[in-house]
Amino acid sequence: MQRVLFLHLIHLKMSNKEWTEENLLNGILQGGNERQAAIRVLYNDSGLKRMVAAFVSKNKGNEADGQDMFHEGIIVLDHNIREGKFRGEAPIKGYLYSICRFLWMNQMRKQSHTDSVAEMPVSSEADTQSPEVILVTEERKAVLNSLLSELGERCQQIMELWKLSYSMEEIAEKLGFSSPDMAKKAKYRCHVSLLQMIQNNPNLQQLLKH
Amino acid sequence: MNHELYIERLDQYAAGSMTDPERAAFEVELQENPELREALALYRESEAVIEQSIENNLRLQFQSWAEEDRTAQPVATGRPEGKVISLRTVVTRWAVAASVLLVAGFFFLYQNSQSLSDTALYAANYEVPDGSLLRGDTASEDPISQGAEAFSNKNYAVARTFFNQIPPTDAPYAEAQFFLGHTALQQQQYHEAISAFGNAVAANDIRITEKAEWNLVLTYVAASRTEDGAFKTLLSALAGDVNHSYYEQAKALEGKLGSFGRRFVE
Repeated sequence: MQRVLFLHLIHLKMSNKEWTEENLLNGILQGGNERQAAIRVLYNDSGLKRMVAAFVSKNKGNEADGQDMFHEGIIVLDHNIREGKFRGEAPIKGYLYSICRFLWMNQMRKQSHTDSVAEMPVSSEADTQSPEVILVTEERKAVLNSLLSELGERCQQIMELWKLSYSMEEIAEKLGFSSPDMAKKAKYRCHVSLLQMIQNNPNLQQLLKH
Repeated sequence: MNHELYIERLDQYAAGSMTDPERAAFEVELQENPELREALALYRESEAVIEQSIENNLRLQFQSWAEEDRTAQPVATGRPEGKVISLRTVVTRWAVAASVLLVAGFFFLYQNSQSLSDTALYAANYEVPDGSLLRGDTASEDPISQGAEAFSNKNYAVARTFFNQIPPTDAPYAEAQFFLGHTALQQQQYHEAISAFGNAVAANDIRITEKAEWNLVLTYVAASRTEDGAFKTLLSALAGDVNHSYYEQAKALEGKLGSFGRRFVE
């Protein structure tokens, strides 16, 4: 069964490109516009969206909760693929679904509704792999966001594009630098600023570690 | 800690782009050098900050796609309840109203077309920087006073040469790039102005950043590049940040650029 699932390919079409499992995975790994397109394909998967919404609505949630979980699941999936935590051993669709389930169950636990959560019939695709989800506390998120504000909009854009594997040529073009070299220098300065901001605040460092 | 010492190798290590021997050597050094270990730990934290930015933007992207999907939906077919009015009456009323609006609209557009052009918007917002105000009273000792003086005297060629020679590693780099942007702008060298203001912003000098961002916006307007993605992103960021020094101006500019009358301005 696992083998069948592994070989199963999702065929999604968008912009004349056939979005197989492999293309979705590579698209996100490649970064830049390919990542954007791959995420849009996942976002548009109405079948999976409905499955997530059905799970959430059967477990004390509403339609908006279902949509939120689907979006949060894509965010985790994108992160896990880029960090090499998901390498395509299971179908992306099943993996995404199990992330969404995990996120919702966790939210329910936080709201102390665990006892009343109904058991869901397990989909053949749903539990092919346990999702590796790092839950970030609200406190930590607040610290990360305050650092982002301090860093400034321009540096955020540069660092984000760099982290998403945009080339220095693409960063220069998107952000109006005169050359890739200038974009590279700007990235360097922004990164040093960020490191100094973290280093100069031991309380933030301590919190970020937890 | 001197981050400059490690950042390049940390980038390579984190991206997995080191060769096997380089990686092995780096990991040995990690065990032996506590400062490198600390640098790596800080580097990991910086990655978490950037990931948060990616996450925030992905959420905004989802909102944007949801909005697109909503606007692409066909109009609802449900018929509201109410008094039945003949189609002819409705058409006549709408025709009269449309005619009045059309005449008023053309009059309004004619009146406003001049004030909504790129040239007019730029002129209404741009201010020549006052070097002395920017740098305080010690202009004679200021490392960029020579360039600022040339700029004030409209000796732009000298000013450009002067500002260009200040390297990114020097303290007044942000200020120099800021003035270089203005110098290029005065000479209508928009590409160079965009680059210089961009550098001034990226230098992250608290005295300069917001001024440079606003002038970068105005440079795009002067260059008639208001359809550029970078311009739209920046203007939207300024107009969405109530704490930004140029929030009000950015908001007003955004409103004018998005106004109906603007579509009729060449």
